[in-house]
Amino acid sequence: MARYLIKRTGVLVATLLGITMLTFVCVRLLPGEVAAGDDRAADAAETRAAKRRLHALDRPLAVQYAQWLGRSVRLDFGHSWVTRRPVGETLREAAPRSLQVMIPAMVLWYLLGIPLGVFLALRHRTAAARLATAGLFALYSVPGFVAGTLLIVWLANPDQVAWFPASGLQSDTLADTAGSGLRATWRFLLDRVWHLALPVACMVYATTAYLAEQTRVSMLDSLSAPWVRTARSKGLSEFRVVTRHALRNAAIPLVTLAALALPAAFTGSVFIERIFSIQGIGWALVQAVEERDHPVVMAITTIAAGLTLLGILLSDLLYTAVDPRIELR
Amino acid sequence: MRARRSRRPWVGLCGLIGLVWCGLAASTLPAGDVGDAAVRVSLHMPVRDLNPLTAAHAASAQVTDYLFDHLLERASDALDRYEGALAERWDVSDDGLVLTFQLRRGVRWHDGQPFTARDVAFTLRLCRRPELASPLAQALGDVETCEVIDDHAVRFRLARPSWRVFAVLVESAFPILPRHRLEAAGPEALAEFGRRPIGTGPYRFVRHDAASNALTLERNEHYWGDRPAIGRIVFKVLTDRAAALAEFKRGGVDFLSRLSADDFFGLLEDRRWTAARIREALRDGSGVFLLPPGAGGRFGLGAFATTRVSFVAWNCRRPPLDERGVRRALASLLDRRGFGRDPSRSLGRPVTGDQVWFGPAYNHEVPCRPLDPAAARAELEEAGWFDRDGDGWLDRAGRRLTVRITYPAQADDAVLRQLQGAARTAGVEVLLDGLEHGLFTRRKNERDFDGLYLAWVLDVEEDPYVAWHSCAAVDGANYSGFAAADALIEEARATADPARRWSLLRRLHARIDAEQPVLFVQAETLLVAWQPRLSGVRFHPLKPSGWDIREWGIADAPPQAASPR
Repeated sequence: MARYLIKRTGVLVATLLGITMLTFVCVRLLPGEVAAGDDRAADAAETRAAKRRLHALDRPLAVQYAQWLGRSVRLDFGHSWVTRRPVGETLREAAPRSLQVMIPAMVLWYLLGIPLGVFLALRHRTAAARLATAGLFALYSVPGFVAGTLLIVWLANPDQVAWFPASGLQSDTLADTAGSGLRATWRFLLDRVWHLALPVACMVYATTAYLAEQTRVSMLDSLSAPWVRTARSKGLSEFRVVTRHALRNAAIPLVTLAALALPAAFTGSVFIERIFSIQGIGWALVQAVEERDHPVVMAITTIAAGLTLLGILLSDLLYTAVDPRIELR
Repeated sequence: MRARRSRRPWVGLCGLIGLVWCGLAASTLPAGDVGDAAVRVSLHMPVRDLNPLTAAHAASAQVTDYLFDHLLERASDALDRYEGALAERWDVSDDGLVLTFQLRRGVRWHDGQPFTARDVAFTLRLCRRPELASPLAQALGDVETCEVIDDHAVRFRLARPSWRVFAVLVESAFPILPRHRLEAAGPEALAEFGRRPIGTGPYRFVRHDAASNALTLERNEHYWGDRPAIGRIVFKVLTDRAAALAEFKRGGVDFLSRLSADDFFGLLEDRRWTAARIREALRDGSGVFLLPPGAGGRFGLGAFATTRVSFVAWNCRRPPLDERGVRRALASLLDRRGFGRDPSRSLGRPVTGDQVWFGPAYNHEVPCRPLDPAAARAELEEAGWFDRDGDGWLDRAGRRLTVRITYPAQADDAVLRQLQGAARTAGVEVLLDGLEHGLFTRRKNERDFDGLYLAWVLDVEEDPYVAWHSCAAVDGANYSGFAAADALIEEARATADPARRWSLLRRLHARIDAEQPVLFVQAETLLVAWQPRLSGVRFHPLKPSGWDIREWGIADAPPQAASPR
């Protein structure tokens, strides 16, 4: 196992290096000016030239990359070219906002998706299960930004019902009205959950549908396996047969999906953050690309790539826990 | 026993996730409360930099306008008159090379420090720092020095007479920043200032809470000028239009700007106010249409023609747009009766030049060309363009008459599609290229286009040198390459007398219209709505946002005593 880990870590580092190099070149080759403003003054050649000198864009690409790499290994991603703030500080502020949406969403993916998938597999011959499967496909087909807008129009609009807020993570009047002590904490938590309801719902529905369908297909495969027949013939309860014998063997695809949850938790969802005005990492990334804020783009893509590779490594390690027959060399 | 033990790891995991989530939520909890009744104003994009010298977007200017002061302000009732702000008196030497300002006494920064002439001199030095790469450095290029005469007097010396420098120095392009905070500031301190700015303005920065998307300003109780009635302003970032409208209807926002035409007419309950009537009201001269709460429906509604002008710049270096006849023909293919996806609801104001339509330099004698495909075709035939092969498109020497218009993909292309449709009837092939912003910027800077669709926010008096002089054709904002009026432009630039200068600018307007290097479309109309609790809402097209919150009041707030100036 130790040898495997050392080997995989080496591959991880090399892959990450390759990703950062490719991303760096692509970002530098993007057309457009850094932090181009709205007016003609920002368009002036002198202003553009001054910005290029300021950000060392007139140096050779290899030199620029080497300088960036030298800082990044120390986790110093430089300063934003737009706000001039340390990139790390910007990400430390934005990440909790994305995580507050993604963590509940990810928990609900599995809490809802797996049991639903198991249920559909056990009842797969019934009309209700077929209808539910069709419904899952339909849900999965609805794009997130469409769902978000519809939820706002239907559930956050006084013309229909205004059950939920349409934007942000918190009421801006909360500081005035919350009171103090335990009461304030309770109101704060309720307010936060209330604001997260619609964004989390948008994040949950499609992936839950996908997860349920994956679980259903894997379970159907697993339920017809010989060891499940053996378990049943031994007189085990149906619950035990499903959870300890069938589900465990069907879990490998689900573990693979879990590997992608790590970078998703960090980057959030660009569409959802835009629609609900949540200033998380996804929002920051899109703004940085639009404004050609290279340090922020590089930082977010590097961290997301690192988390993806780490997630893949962790899922490989989890396979051995799920299926003892798997051996890592 | 075995079943209970096997559940403990899951319970522990759920508990851990819950604790982590609560910790994350708590990390975004704002500190402190903010006092009395507030007005909530929508912003369509987040504001990340409140340093007015470096902020790149108009949304920032909507906020910084209340935080910072300038030397003078243009009078709201006479565009050629200035009123004292941080400067009480000013003097321009006869040769136009020396500007002297006597500064107001008793003004304090939001942190209590006194404002002095050194702050003015420092601001000029700051905007010239290389690490800021501020566009203002170029705009003030003719300013040689700024001398501090004493604590309340400052003198600017210019390299050559320039009315433009005076306009930049005294208006919103040159807000005064605190020397005591920024003189020794490195990049991090400058960035921090952009997050927590300090000014001398009528409002001071309180906090910016990203969790609730609220940026809060509080009234400056030691302000040198008139005390605003509104004690607190909360700017709420609402990037999605549907979310913004929903928030407004539920009362979460008091003032909503940038409404779409559909949303505007959706809120308008009095159906006697048709788009045609509103358009007529807007074009009658004032450019403002106002319905107070109760007059047209529950909410107050307003529309006003802004100083943001959209246009298509033709690349006069490239055939066929190097021919004046072709450009003039294209000008007859724009239907100015109504723009946009639903022309019947269009409220934009057609314009023919790049001076603000209500300003003294706009030539109202230059008429808007009516839509006339037949006249356009006749003009093109005169230039030798005929449909020789019967394919419906005009051609000459085996080449089809094709014009490609490049525009930013996020722009509303409805006007261009109207133009495309009308051009088809005249036999001109108009192709549209919607490009990502960065690619659009590169094409613009490399002059790699036939036509370029843009919009500019204009000053009350535009310096024609930037947009029309041949020197700006390669690297500046003269995208079309227009070079037929350099002498007129140089004369206007050097003319200090406003009346004479405006006359020259009106002549320039007429000449540009005759040459048609640019197809001017419209002065865009901004549609807004506000809650019944707001009073005193008026429109000022020259303000960064178009309105002045200092004039507003809240119906349910206790009356405020006026303070002496």
